[in-house]
Amino acid sequence: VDPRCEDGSRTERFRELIAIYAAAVRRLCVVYASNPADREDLFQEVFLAVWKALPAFRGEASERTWLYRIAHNVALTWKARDRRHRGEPLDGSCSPACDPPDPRRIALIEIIALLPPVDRQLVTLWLEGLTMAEIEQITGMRAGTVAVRLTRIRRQLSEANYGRIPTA
Amino acid sequence: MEEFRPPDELCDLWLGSQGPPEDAAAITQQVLMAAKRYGANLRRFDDMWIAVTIVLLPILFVAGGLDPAAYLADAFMIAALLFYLAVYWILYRKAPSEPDSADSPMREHLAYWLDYLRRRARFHRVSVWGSVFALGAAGSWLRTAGSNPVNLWMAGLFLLSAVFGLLATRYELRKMEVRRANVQRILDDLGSEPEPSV
Repeated sequence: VDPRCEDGSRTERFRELIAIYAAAVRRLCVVYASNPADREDLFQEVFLAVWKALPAFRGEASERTWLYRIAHNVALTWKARDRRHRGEPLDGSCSPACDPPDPRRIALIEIIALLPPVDRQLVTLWLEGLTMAEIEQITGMRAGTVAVRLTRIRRQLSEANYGRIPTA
Repeated sequence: MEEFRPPDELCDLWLGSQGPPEDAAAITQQVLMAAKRYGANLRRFDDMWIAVTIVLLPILFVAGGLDPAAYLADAFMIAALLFYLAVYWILYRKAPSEPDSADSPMREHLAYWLDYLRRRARFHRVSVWGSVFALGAAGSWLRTAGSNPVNLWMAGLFLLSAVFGLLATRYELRKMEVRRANVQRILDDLGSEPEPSV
């Protein structure tokens, strides 16, 4: 990083955010992009948006809520673009350095990737362990609506035997 | 609230195996480079238009000098170029580019995107009609202005440019319509109230 061009504290803060949230953003990218090149593209776009938004972050929301909101907003509009997404089968690996992917994980990601975009967001936020209040803040949906949708999604996941697909 | 938490088995599956920690410094470097490239690309596009204007205008005047009949066609061509540049600056470049609203609530962010796509489509529609009209008029004038081969060659070029402009704009507008429909669908879904499950 060229210190002449960038504010050092902003860069330092940005680096910390990457260290904390990169893995979560990579997991998010997996359900939006089926191949490594698109995933990397989306990953960079998310953090580019984080970089741009960082000076305006005043800590009114928690850092986690703020970052997930950015990540999901960027992923939604990235997916909505009419670009040619390279359609390769999902390999389920979250980062280039990950271990070989678990077939059950691939199956889970395939199920999530088939959900409509808003449901996809809800389920990934839920799986990341966010609270109902945090999901409300990120999506702007009412708690009742989130609960109804998540119940429906959970049923879909159960019907797909997400936890009982045999390992290779 | 306890039942809101996902089952442990599902959580483990989702979180997967944690790879080695990310190289935050390298990612930071890449993102900052991408941020600079983004700004540089916009500037390059602006520079390209200025260069086109600077190069094209004298060429048109020189070409016009070869045959006085070509002056009117040149005037049309210059009008087309200046019209496009004016529309580019007024409708496109002066307005914000892609919305930097990713930290807004989701509904607002999507609404910004719809507005952005609407502005882009408006720019394409307005710019193409003026430019295509002027190019078409220039081509038609040259076609009827005489039998000078340069004129006929330029007439073909102008008319082809007009047709190409129309087709390219149609393609862009269709692409934008797909994007707009996709964003609108997500926005509608976000606002819909699902039936409670039995």
